[in-house]
Amino acid sequence: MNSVAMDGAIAAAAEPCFHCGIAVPAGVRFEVLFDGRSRHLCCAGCAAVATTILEAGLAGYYRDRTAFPEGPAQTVADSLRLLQRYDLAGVRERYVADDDQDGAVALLSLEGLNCAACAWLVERRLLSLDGMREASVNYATHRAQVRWQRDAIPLSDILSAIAQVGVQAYPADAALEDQYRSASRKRALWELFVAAFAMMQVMMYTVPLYLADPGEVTPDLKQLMQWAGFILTLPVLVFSARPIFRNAWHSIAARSFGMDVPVSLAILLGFGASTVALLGGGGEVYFDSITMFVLLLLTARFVDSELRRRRQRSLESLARSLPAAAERLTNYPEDTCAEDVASAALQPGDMVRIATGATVPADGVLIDGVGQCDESLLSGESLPVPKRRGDGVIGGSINLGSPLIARVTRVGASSVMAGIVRASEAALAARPKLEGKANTFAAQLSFATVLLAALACGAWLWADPSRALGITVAILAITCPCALALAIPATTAAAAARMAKAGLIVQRGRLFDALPQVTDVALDKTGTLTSGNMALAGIEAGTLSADQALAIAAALEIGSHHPIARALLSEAERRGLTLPKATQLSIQPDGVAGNIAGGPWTLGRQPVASTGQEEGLPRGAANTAVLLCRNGAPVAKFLLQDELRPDAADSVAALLRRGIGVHLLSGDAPAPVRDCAGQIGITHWQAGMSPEDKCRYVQALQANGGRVLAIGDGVNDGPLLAQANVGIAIHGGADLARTRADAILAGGRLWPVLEAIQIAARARRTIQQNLAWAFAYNLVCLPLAAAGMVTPQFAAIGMSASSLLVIANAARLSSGPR
Amino acid sequence: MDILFLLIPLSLVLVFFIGALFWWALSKGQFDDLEGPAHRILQDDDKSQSEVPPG
Repeated sequence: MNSVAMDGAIAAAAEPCFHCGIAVPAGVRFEVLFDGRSRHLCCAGCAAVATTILEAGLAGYYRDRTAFPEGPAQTVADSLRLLQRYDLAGVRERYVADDDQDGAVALLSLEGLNCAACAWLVERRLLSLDGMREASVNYATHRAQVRWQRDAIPLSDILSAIAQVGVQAYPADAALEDQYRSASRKRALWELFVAAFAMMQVMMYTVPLYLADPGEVTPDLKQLMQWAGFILTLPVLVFSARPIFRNAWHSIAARSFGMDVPVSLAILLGFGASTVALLGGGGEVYFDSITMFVLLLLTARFVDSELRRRRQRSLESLARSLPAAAERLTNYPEDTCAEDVASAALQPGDMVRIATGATVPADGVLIDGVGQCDESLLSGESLPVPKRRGDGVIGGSINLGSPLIARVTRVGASSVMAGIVRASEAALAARPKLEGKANTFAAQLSFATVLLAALACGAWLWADPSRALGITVAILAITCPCALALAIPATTAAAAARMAKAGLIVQRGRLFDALPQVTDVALDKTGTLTSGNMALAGIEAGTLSADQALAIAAALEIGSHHPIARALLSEAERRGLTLPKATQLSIQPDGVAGNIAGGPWTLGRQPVASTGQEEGLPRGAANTAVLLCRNGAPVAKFLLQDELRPDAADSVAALLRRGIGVHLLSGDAPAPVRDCAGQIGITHWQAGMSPEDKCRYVQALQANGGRVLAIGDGVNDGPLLAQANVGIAIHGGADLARTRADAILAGGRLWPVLEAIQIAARARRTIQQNLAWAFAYNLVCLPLAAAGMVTPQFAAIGMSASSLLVIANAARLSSGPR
Repeated sequence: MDILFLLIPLSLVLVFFIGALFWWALSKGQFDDLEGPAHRILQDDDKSQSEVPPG
């Protein structure tokens, strides 16, 4: 920009928006002064934000930032009313905690924090508020912690102050935050760290003693090194091993004999015997074994709990999807005065208004208004669902149409959302069957071990009391079912990590039991084989040209987020069409209506199933037709097709090559399903199936000895996924489907399923090897130890080596060939 | 080899010192945000006071 004295419109067109960086539309003039020069902005939102930032003396943001915001800023006025709901009694308490006598503290979740300069900007902005005591933004986690004087600032002012500089802030629910950074996880990490650190150091003192030639280490040096080992084992014993001792104590108290009992006994006896030896009582010292033992156990447990924690996160988005506040109509139908109340305070029978774009606060029945609701979060249905008077609305869905008035029917524990959350929690609690078996076996073995050790101890006390303690410890250490207990979790953890790298996130361990034996795959069509994105496949225009028809249709769809609208708008943009001006746009249950050039136009969805005219459609999975009508008379027809996932055909072919039967089970009309099946080479397909039909189909396959893997995305697929031996949900689909699924496909590709089948087959082999090894090892070593032929030292090395072997064997999974 | 009688106790002291240091760093939130502070140091709070927007 070398000349400032250009015509304003040209300058505006050439210079990107000063705040957000997108092109400034021609004719738009918003300016701010920065560095002595006038800068252009694309919209009122950006102008307001930039002015606020500069007026607050925070121009440093524009100098230091390394990235533009994600898009133009929103005008604050719209969101202000929404933000004020956070001040309501009952809502506020959920997010704000008391600090000291007059202080408040809250954790805010920030959206639109794009570079470190934004973090600084938000901090400065917050600290400029009167009554703000402390504000610190964590750029890595996109969280801000604020402390302020309780009565000086309402929470909504804090949120809107942040919105004024172009960053969206939401108060974070304290209960949910806890799950993330729970103190227990921090403590577990510390216990692990201490054990690892101490183990390495103890090894440093012990390995030289093993390697040294006889006589090379003087007795006093040896004793010094052993004392050093003793000192470092103490923190492991009193801090790191605490959870093991606690578990053992609980299991004794509950009279169930867990694996932790012999483990604890071995640790305590080993430590006791070593200490006695150190004090000159004779015998061997094996602090190295104790520390390594504890470390291995803690590592396996930590990996296991991390996997669970990850599964738990899918619940978080769900719980957050209900709005904190609702608009209650107290006097409906006499008047429509609304009061803001906390969603939790709603009762069945209350009337609520749901504004355009707002989230439905509770389950209810539509009383007034027509519109569309986005239920994708709950049902996975990618297209908005039309709603008329009398239809049910589900809490958590989003109203995309005109404002609705609904009567609340269900709240709290009986609502659909609560049911989904409960189902998810139940799914989280489930453990793989094989692992359960191994754990029971390990517990029985533990019991046998303790019994045997006691017997051997008694026998040796009678035969040779000086050796009794050493032999007891050797038995407990060498037969510790550590390797056995590690065999499965270590392998599944490695396999799960490998699958996650491939794009499949494992939720439940039963997947490892069933996946290698899969004989049939049942697929859903929409959203599974296809991506759910619409693409324009053809235009049938009568009197108008195709471009004219498209321009009119796109003009009607401006501002809509419906997939059909997106397809039409992106095609119009691709063709470079100028859209006519549409007025009086309104959203109908099955389309849109508006006035263009004086005439009324409607654009409505026409499901292919109801027209029977699908023969003329182009090849592919065309399944939706949209009619453009003028004065009610059809003028043009748009054919839209659901795009196939790019790797669908390859994945299906690869499954067939492995000898796995592929079945396409769809609820759609026969023609598109047939086309789709033909296109990717699936011979078994059925159309028009209800969820029950799909379940029966799978049951029939299973009755014939088949083991079925089902892949789906919608709430309709929930029963299918549960019925199948393995259920995989597509990411972005319904949460209900996801909670019933054993795994989730991320990244919109099907290919990871194939990789997962191979990985699971290898994991199964590895588990068998590990179990066989652990069992054979115990079988051989137990009699040797009982006979006094194994020194405690060797027992400890043997135990550690056995566990390491199992872990190393499992680790092969995360690398190596597929 | 006599030096070991000094080095081993010394290493013990070091182990506890490093452990304590790490504990202190973790509890003080030194590892909470690894990216933000590096940029924050570059941002002046006083540089921009001279800037005045129009209107």
